[in-house]
Amino acid sequence: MGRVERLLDPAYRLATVILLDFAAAEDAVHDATLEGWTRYRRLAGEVDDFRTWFLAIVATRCRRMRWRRLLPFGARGEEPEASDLVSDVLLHLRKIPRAVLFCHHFLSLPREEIALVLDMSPNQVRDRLYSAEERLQEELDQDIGVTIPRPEDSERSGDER
Amino acid sequence: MSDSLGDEVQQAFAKMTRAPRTYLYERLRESIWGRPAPAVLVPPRSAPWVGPILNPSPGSSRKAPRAVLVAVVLVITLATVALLAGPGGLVHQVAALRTALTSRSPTAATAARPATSAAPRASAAPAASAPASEPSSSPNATPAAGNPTSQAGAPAPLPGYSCAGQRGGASGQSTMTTARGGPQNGYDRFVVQFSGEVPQFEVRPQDSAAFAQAGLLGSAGLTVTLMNTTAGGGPTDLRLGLRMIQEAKILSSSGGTVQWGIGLARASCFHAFVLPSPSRLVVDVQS
Repeated sequence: MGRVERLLDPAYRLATVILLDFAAAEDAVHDATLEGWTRYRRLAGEVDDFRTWFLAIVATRCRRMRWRRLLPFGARGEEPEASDLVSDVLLHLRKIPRAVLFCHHFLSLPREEIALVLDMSPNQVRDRLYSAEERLQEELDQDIGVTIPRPEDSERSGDER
Repeated sequence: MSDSLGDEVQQAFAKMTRAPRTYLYERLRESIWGRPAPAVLVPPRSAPWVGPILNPSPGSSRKAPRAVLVAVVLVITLATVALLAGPGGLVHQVAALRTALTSRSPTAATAARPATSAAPRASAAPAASAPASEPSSSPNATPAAGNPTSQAGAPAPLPGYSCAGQRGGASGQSTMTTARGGPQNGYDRFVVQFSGEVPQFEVRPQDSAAFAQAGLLGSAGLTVTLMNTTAGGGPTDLRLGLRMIQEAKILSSSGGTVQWGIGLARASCFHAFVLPSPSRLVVDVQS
């Protein structure tokens, strides 16, 4: 039974994509795993889809940490770096569109599962995915560099999700 | 989005992120093993979902936490002390032997023999409380008396487990929606899900897997009888091939009674209980 062992890799990558901080992602996965362990025992191991259930706990934990990280104190860890234009654009997307793209293209999750992981409706997932892909395509077509505002700026204005 | 761009996005995410460090596994193991277990609604067990990294098997080469090592050393020390100093222990045997050799009399030599024969019983002194010395009268053995055949060769039941028939459930009408099974750490689980309340049920052990001419896989079995139930859907034959549960199959469904047969690899104790939201009957078979 290596259920968590198999999921630590996608969970850690998802946390990194949401938080854009490797150390914070480790903290998020650690805390989420402990929370999941407690919940799993209370549920007597009766979880319909373990992957969705566990990734949803990780994503929720990341969202809570993300709000805390908006405060102007606390140490920041190493951030992911852009290696090409695509990753540069992805890094400058907002966290939810970026997470939706990650779940869809990297984890190959169906939309219904993405909705459960990110606590959204399937229609919202479809819209976010469509707009994010369109935005990404526009940026790549123009090939003039990044024009999307940094996610921190947009989140401080309170229009995230 | 074109497939090529999708691949580019996938590669970009692969470069942007990385696999978790070993430190994360170590940290999780420390956190889970170092904290007290939370309140549970089911018999406490080790975290079965954690897997070999966080919950390594006895053969694992990973380091055991300090508390486990201390406990092991303590048990070994107590056992050694009991062996040496307990009644009929090695110290007494050596003293008796020395007396016998010193006196060189046949009576003294034979007097040492009872002490020798008492050694095995005394060697388990610290753990050998009264119930352990009389297994046939211990509370754990009582369920086995009702079903001696199913107990043969089976391990000692865990807390909450019994080798005798178990029953429970509510008196209302219910519909069975689905059934499933899966392996867990130390037991196999069979679950029947209902649309209403869990109906009255009875789980009984069987001597073989061929009861009711069902011809189930395995060498022993269980029958799960569900009263006031209609089979609304879900599988009727699950060839699970688990360590204990080989197969689960609906034997009959008529007159408001549904009967499942579970083929087991060998006779074993089990634990049947109910979980809500959604209503489920859970049968854990000890492996």
